[in-house]
Amino acid sequence: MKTVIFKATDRCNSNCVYCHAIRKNNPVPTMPFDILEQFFIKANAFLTQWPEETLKIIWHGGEPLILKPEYYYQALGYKETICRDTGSRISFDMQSNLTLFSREYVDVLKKMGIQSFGTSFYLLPGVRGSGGTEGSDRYNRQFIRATSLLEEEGFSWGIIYVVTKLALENPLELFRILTNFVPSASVMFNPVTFYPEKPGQVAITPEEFVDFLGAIFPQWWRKRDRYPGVDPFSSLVENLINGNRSLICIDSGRCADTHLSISPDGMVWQCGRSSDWGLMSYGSIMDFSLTDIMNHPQKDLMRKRNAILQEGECKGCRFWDICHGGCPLDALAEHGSLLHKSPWCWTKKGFIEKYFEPVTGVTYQPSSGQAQAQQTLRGETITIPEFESRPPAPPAGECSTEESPWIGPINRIDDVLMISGILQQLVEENPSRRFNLVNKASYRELLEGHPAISSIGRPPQGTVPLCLDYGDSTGPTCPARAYQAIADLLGLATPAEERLCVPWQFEDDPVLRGLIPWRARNILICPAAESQRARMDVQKWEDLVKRLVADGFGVMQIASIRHPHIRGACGIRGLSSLKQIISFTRNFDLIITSHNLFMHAAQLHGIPAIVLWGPSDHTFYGYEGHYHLQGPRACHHAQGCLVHNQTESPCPMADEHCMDLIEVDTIHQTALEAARSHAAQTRTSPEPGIMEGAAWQDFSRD
Amino acid sequence: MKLPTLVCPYNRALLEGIDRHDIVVRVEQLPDITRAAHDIRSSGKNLIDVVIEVDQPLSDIPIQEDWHGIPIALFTPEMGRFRDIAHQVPRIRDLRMHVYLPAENPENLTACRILSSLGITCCLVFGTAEPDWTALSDLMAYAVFGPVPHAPIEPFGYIARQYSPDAYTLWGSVYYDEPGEFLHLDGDGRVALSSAALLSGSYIADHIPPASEPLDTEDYRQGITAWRHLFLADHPCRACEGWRICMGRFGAQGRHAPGCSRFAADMLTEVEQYRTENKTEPLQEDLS
Repeated sequence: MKTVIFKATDRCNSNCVYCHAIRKNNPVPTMPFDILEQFFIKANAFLTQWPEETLKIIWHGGEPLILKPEYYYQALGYKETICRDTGSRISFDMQSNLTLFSREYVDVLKKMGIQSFGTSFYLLPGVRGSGGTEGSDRYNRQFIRATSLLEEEGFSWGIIYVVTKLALENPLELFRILTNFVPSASVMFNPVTFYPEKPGQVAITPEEFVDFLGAIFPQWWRKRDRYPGVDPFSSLVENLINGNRSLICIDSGRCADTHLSISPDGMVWQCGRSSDWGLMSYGSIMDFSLTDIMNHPQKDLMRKRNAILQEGECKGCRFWDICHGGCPLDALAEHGSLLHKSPWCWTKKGFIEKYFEPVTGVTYQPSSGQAQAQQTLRGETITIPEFESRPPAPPAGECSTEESPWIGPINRIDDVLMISGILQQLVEENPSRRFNLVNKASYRELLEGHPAISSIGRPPQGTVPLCLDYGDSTGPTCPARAYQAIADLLGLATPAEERLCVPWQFEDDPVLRGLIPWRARNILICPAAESQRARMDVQKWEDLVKRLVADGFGVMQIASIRHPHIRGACGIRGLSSLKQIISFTRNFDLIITSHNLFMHAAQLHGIPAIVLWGPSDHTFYGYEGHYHLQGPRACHHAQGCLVHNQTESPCPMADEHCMDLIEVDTIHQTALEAARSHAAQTRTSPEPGIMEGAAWQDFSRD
Repeated sequence: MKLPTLVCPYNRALLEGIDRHDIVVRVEQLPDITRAAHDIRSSGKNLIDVVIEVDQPLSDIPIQEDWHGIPIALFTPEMGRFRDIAHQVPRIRDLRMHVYLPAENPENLTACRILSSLGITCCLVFGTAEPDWTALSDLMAYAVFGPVPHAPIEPFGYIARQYSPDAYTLWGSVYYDEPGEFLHLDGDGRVALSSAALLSGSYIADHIPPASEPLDTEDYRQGITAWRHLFLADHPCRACEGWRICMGRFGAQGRHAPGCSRFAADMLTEVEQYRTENKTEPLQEDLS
């Protein structure tokens, strides 16, 4: 069966704080009838070609009931006329906020065979609704009115409850309220997910979600017959105790074969969330058949993911067959690559180990053995890229010694290579020196196996981890360099040698290498930065790339898939892991980058780098030996508006944004000089150059 | 959609204007029981119950022969002395009478057990004062699980029969007070959603609309969803373990009372057990 999340509209009558859909500003907010018709044409063709297939169409949005009944009559008409021979294999469902439900929908919904609704509800004010307490109060009253009508008309409904930070205070009370409120007590708890930003006042961590569920689970288990429809509990009982292998999409490992989404403009996406986040699109329904879409190369990559994870990050995990590394979209959003397990891994594994098994007394034993390194997929044998052998990783989880302090979480991925280098120096000074590291998916793979790290996981309750936020760089008592500040926090005597390292061997993916159109000299550009204020305008990058390509350079762009592609550069976004990409940077002659992790990667490999600065200070972060181009600051932030804190708000200076005051010509000339210098020398650092906007100092080297 | 049942005073003019609705008629005097039943039935309407509230105990009520075959809901403050009622028991058992007794009087809990064991259906009415929750819990267990054949003790029997984990257990019907299922009329035909609303003059319409135009005003909609709005307020009942059995009725007029939560939670457990055991013998509706 194929499930199609059918987003016929992005419009909504609400403005819930965690919703992505309505913020998309889609130029086509509602699917026009020609696209709607085309969908049914393609659906009919697909079902004709594959007689064993069925399509489940879940009307979604936005808010699907913002569309009038006439829209659905039209859809029904298309199904009945275009899919005359295949329509029996098309079913409909709906996910709606229900506030717009009225009796005028009853006839068409019943004709569509819709008998129940999935919906969401939030008791706390200010989360759902048009905004604020008043908006949510009005929303809730409409919701109540609608559900009452719904029940009178014979429909049923269940709630998906999106757990935000606001809900963490009293989980058990919340559970009772929701199961009292919903007639069937059918409630599914899901953690709120955000992309790309994670608003601190709402976002939760996997650990918080696990403990939220854990506060409810014992009560649910005692009275599980009373609440048969509460998830994830009921499903876990089915999977872990009853041996039922029916899994939801994020756990199935098969969503490449089972799920699609379509947005109002006719674009086809992997799933509903991928559509909201603008990730993983497959083209337009106007241009491609559903069979073409199911055969898209990206779906092939998704199919390979299972085998890669089984031999990599998920190797040996006993929950593999009920998890399969979790949602690939979450992996992509977190890492820029599908080929990782979901950052929400802990929500399943942690919950089962910490709560489910102790409470139920059942210890889950998988039925299948160790995963295979190769698998057969539709007759092809897939060879998994070889991973370099590495020292065994320290055990993850809470196996720490009492003496070892906990570090983290590390909030800036840029800092990871510095931290690694500092820890290395500490363990060289004292081989018995150890730390534990608070787990975070973004950097785990980079630090796993580090000789200074005993374990990566979650600190015991009551532990206060060592915070590596090194605060304001100004002030007489503060270290003058980020590296020194971190060293100070970790207990390494300063001034320390600013050495970077990684605890693993560099690896090159031959597939990735083969994709690159190498030239005699190659430049890697890294326009992304954690804060949008640290990014230069895309057009300036494209201008730069055009010039470099004309000069005969090969230009590659590295970024996560969510960052825009720079035209002219060969993009390798989202096709590799972080380790692979850091390894890969050593193959380039020059790196041109914003202030980000790849500046540090360039330093790690001893590769020349041109670093573009604006809202942060090159003297604090930048390396001696790199070329630093500092955009002049027209704002009042003398030290730069970012200092150590990333901000997601756009720069208010508009055309005077410091990053955009760096002249492309300057960057280009510097690149030519750096490339000449690199070609003439072995890998020794050139003299540093510090430049400000148009007024730059010439430099020369011996 | 089924039309709501109308609870209305015994008023011939009013009753003549009602079409297609089932009727629960309130009478003021005992002699009106027969007259009202006759008038309604002879007009072709479906009589659900004749409701009468009296001030005297059951033992003091002269049971009439012509009450035979009339469904009667008798609200009385107490059973009275058993020695006074003993000789009436066979006649009461021959009637289709349900005896409603206030729950806050502990003697009435005993009375219910006695009447039920004698084959007379009785029903507890929850008012403003708190009952003896422990004794009530015991009575509830007897009502649901008592091995000796007995007449139903409402609302427990009704709840046990109706409860499902997939739906709300709306047992206001036992008192003709389930908004949406029952509408209350005054002598002028004005419409309220409950007896309490009627008493306080909270009307949702001036008259009952024709049967082809079901009542669906905003006031009506607000009224029938009133209990749901409790979930939007910081009300202790909304997180009560026993809510799905209580639905806000065991507490004093919807106000949360300390003992009611425990009682409702216990009752929910008992009802679930009843459902699990899947008793094939229904709770006896009427031993008469």
